[in-house]
Amino acid sequence: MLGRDPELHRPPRLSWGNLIKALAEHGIQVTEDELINAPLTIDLHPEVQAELKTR
Amino acid sequence: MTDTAERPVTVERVFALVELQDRVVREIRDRAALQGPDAPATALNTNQPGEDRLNIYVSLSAHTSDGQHIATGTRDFVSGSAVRVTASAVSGTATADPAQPTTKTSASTSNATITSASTTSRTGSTRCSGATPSFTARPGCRGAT
Repeated sequence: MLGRDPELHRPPRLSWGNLIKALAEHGIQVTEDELINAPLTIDLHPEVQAELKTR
Repeated sequence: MTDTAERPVTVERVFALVELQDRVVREIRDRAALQGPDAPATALNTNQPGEDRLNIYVSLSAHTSDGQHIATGTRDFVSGSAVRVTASAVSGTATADPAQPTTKTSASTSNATITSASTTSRTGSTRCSGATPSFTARPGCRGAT
């Protein structure tokens, strides 16, 4: 999960941890909120795209 | 006057690569090989209940202001809420993939445009290139299932 309603009583834990760590290993410090607010592109694996295309 | 201050590197765009479990990918490829690329998709059904679970994996990466493309090198989360119920024409009745963890996810996207696909490394923290925009969500409306 990459986003959440901040007003939820118990906001769910998001999945940015690995990316924050990978960026830190390259000397780039970034917060979860910064990643949430960054533009997002979703890349579909070719087989996923093919399935969507033929449905 | 020259600006000599070093600007901090920032994340300009985040990428989420969406994949299926390897077994399902193989079956889709086999079906396409037998029936051609325009064969109707019968392998995936995300709306009906069934005993065969479909896992959708998401791997994250980021493009930074200094031109790097940094990937986590792993599948960052999996959506197991979808269900695969119909056997492909090639393999017969499918089975679940018990080796993979399942975590339900929920979110929403809008203003999406599908244009292409790409792949990324899964081993270690990796810089990769060639990630091509394919499904772009409106900034500030983050989510992938």
